[in-house]
Amino acid sequence: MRIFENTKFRFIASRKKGYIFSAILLTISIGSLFIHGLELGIDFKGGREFVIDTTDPLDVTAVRAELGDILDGSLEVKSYNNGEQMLIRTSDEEDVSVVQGKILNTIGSSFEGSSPTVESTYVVTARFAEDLKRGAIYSILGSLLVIFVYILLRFEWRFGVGAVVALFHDVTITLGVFSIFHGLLGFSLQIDQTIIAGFLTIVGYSLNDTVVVFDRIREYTGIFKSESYDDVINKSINNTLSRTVITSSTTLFVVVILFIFGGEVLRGFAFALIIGIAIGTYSSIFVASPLVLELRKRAAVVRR
Amino acid sequence: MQGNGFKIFLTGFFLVMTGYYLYPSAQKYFMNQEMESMTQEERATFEHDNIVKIKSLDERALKLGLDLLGGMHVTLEVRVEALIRELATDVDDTFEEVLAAATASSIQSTDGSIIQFFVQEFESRDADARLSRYFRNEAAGITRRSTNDDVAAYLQTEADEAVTRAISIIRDRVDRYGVTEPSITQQGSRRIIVELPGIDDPDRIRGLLRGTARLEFRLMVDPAENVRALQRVIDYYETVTDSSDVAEADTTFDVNELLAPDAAGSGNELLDVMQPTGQGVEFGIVAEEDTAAVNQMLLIPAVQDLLPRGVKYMYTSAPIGTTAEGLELYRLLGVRTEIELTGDVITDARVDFEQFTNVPEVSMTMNSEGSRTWARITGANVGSNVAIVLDGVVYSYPNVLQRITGGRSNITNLDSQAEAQDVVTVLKSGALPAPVEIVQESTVGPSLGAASIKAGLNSVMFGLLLVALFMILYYRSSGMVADLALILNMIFILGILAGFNATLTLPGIAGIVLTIGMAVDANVLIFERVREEQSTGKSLKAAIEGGYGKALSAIFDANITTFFVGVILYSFGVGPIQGFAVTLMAGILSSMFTAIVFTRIIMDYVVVDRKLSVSFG
Repeated sequence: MRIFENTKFRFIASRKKGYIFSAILLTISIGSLFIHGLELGIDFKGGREFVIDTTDPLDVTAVRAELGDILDGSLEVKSYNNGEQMLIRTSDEEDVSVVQGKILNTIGSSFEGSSPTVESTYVVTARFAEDLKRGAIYSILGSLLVIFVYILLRFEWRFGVGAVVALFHDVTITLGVFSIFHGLLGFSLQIDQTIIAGFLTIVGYSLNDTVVVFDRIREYTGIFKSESYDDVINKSINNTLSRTVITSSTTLFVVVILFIFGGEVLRGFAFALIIGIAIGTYSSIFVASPLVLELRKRAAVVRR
Repeated sequence: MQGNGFKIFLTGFFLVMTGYYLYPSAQKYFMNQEMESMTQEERATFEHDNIVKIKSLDERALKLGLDLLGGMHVTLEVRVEALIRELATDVDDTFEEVLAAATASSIQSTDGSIIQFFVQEFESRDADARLSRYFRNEAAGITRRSTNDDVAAYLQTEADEAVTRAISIIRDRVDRYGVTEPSITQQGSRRIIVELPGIDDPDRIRGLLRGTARLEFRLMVDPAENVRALQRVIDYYETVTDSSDVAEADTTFDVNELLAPDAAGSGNELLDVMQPTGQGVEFGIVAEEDTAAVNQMLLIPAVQDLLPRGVKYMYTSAPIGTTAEGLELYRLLGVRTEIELTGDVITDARVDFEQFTNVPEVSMTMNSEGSRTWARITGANVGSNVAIVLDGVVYSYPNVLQRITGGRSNITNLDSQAEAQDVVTVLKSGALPAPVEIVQESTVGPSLGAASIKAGLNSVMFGLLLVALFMILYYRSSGMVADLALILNMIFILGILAGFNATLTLPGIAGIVLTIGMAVDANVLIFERVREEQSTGKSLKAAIEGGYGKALSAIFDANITTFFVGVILYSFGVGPIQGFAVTLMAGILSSMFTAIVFTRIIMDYVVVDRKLSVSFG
């Protein structure tokens, strides 16, 4: 089967459309990040999370009302597994054991015969959350730096700039999607450690895509010396298009499967990857490579 | 197939290694299967007979993370600032301020030593001041002349030792509690990671881990003094509340009058949260919810001046009843700050049952020195109360009837036999040298873990199936070769994980699923190149050679950057995220090998040796 054989799409000629599209997405994303913000998970904010098992499904609103009376701070109650399990998240600063006792007592006495038990807990103190946040920031900055240096060593600096700008583009838009949709979808879009790992995977993936195109540009620059740089880049994108689409598809397949079958814990992570892979594929064609061209053109003008 | 000898050798070598590392996991799996079919008794005998084998298999088999296995993961932090305060004598306001500032700075840094901040902060206030004035200690060689560096070194040694001792004490407690395969490790300078598979009662473990197990015997407040202090404090809050709420009628309160059951809504800030009693050593009765508020009210300096000197107020361990709303009530008792006797003198502790009521209690035996002191204290205080305090909570405060000789004492008012057992455990393991705090905790119930395993396996299976089918559909027979490589890749990843003793977590499984999608990339790159070569009219053999050769630089550059990301994730991430990073890295390495080397062997065998054709779709 051959789908993208010998394509002659005029990517470079129509790159301005790509710029406009990216600019719109970026504006919306950054706007939402400023206005709507992101929802930080317990990892980065601190807090307590309990999954409570009950014999019968309970009414979430009633549970929330009962718990709201006795717990301080923010409170979030969600039910899953057909309502037989409930996720309770609170920022009540009191001792974990006390908070756990309050939750069990309240549910037990307000809903007769519910016999609540603790299935799982997740507790992060504010102090530990600071450390996790710092770790996340270091790993993001570290990854970007290492990647930039590597591209510099293997390609010329314009490629490094193109790749890193494309990475920022991808991560910003994915964050934007998280910002716009948090609270609107049926699963958690909180930013926690797993999501950070997801973002770094997006960084790795997007780069992977970009590098393959860059590698081809590097190769063709040597072969097609008489052709304009525009054509060389366009040809490179077209000749790698089949691979780009195939790999993106297989990767998308598996992350969609992860989204469907991977369970509650991995849903946000899989969602981040779905968005990130889609955007990453787009950006390696419409952002990274054209940027290399723009930088090259600017250099030519200056030299003249 | 000349020239491929080394490649074949390498593939064979990796396969053997993988087999070697995965064999124990397979053995363990089959043994578990076998044990499942046994009856309870057969199983116990089997486990007993094969204990060495089971242990060795557990050590060598692929490890599952607690998020899959179910269990409790706790990060404890040794409170070095509390240790510093404890080591100091003649503590003044400057000391407290410096310590508070140092604590705040240490929270802001990754693993900054609080001692360093403490010394810096102290010197920044007065460069000539000497820390030795707080920490004079003949035994440790800290005299008035010791420099601040000496003191810092001394504190550092004490802190390091505190962490080491805390680890061994916690290990002892966990062992006594009875957890199979616990893991207790130090992280950084003051954190301890405790991993307990199969634990599903987080509350009990919390108590066991963070209880400092400081057992103290203290004398108590003089009843007459206590009542007077109570009256003064009530009056104080009366005036405070009055000035802020003038509308409230001015009534003078008499303690006896206040014994009326419900004083809430009286307009007196203190009486809103505490029911005053003033009987004997008892100050009042407080609902669980309000204990922190009452502590705050008693702590303000103006109120401290009204309380009896050398007396501290502490709560009882067990509730004395509940309010109408079901909140538990605790007594607030006046206890002398001076400690008469500590848990160091306890030589033995065991769970006992009260003779008449059969209520569980803990009886303790003291060494000879402790027995003498205990006899002296009890002898001198017949008719008064003595408080038995464990970790800042009063367990019992019996009225001394006569001088107690023989060093016997007991802790009563325990909730259950389990609690009595835990008290025995912590007493026997010894007191922690410094308080520890749980800074992170995650418990995964066994059913949740099992659900995660199932979800992970399903994702791997469906992912593999979908990608494999797609590859065959798109690339025909060469797609099949890529699929073979993909399956080999999965086996290699598991082998690498087992070989490096890594732990498979849920994010780790996600990494494997992701690898399935990305692993075929190298083959896609190669096959696309082969197609390009074929379209220029080259023979199949030449096209394969050209395709593999030209795709190499792209494969290499694309994979190495993702590998870097994995390395960084591994260095900065914790727990499950490290699991993800490990499978990601393992996946990259093994997929490069299988896609470049293994598929080439097959291609060469089919095309060159067997002179057959391979379709690239």
